[in-house]
Amino acid sequence: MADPNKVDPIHQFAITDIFSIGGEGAGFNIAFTNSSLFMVITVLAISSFLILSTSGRGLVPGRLQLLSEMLYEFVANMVRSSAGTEGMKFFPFVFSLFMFVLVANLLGMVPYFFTVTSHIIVTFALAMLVITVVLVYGFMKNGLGFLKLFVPAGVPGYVLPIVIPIEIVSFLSRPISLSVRLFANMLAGHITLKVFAGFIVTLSSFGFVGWLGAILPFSMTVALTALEFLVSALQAYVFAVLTSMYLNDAIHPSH
Amino acid sequence: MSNSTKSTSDKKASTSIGSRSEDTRALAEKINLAKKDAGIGNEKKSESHLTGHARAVRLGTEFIAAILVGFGIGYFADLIFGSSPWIMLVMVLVGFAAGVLNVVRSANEMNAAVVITPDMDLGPEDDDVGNG
Repeated sequence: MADPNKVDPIHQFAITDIFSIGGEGAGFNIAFTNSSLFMVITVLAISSFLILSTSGRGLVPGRLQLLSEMLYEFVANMVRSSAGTEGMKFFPFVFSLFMFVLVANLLGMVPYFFTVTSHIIVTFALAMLVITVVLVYGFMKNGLGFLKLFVPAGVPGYVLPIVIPIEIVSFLSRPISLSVRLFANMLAGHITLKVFAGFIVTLSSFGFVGWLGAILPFSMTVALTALEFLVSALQAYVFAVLTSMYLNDAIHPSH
Repeated sequence: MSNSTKSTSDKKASTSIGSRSEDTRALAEKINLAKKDAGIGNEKKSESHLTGHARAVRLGTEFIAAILVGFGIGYFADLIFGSSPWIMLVMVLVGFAAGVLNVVRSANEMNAAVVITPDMDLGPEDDDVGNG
């Protein structure tokens, strides 16, 4: 137990199959992993919370109903301020994304739970979903006028061959930065937490002096836990804000 | 007026009242702080209490992501056209420019979201004569 090699900060991100459909003989293999399990738990937690808390439909809301109304107001204000009233048609989309990321991040803070958003493929899939919606809606609504997004207003014609590739690369970098930011924050936070918590175990193998020394990493772990809760909420917020900003581009393509 | 480098309109009004100016100024300060805490008068306030760390990570990823995308486009274009490494070199530069553009844009957004409060010193103002 006191073996320092036992502290493996990466182990918490391992994907394991819980059960799988198909297999070698069937020619396909669909595995239900621990990541899938926690996605299902996240969605179930959000749905049941929202359905149960609003089922009373009190004119004067109770505590839980107030909480879900506050979540609604928070996201609605965010969408309205960055994408305008027209953007409110995307409210269900942004709200679902926000709640999914928020609850997945917060569930990851529970000991022994798996953090869905600490895998880049998950966050990248979410970011691609956002960009696909932006592209599809942008072309549907504005037709080819959506391409004006890549041509800043008031730029003389002879610099356009330089500016347009830059604008296109800048647009293409959005899903990357969106997904890397969320993934890197969650991954780095959980690793740091685990490393500092591991110091406690390692130090405690040195007897009484070690126990005294372990107070330092212990206080650090407590502080980091608080920081991680902040980061969880903040990254969900940043993800949702940037989503509504990108949707704003699809609705009003000219800068 | 010249004794204040961070004057706001209500403070200007209060200094001209004279003897009660100290009380009024303290009250205005209190009201402004309370407004700031309650987030009154600014819909976009939420962006402004991003921590410094979150801002830094945001700017960093915006920059790196654009370079990576430029590199990726150039790399695969080179594979297709067999012109290694020329398109990649050009596209990395384009990606660098796009990264700078991303950083400038998000910094502008962050600046626009900042709430200006009386306790902020934004440098000398037009009406500061001989003091700044």
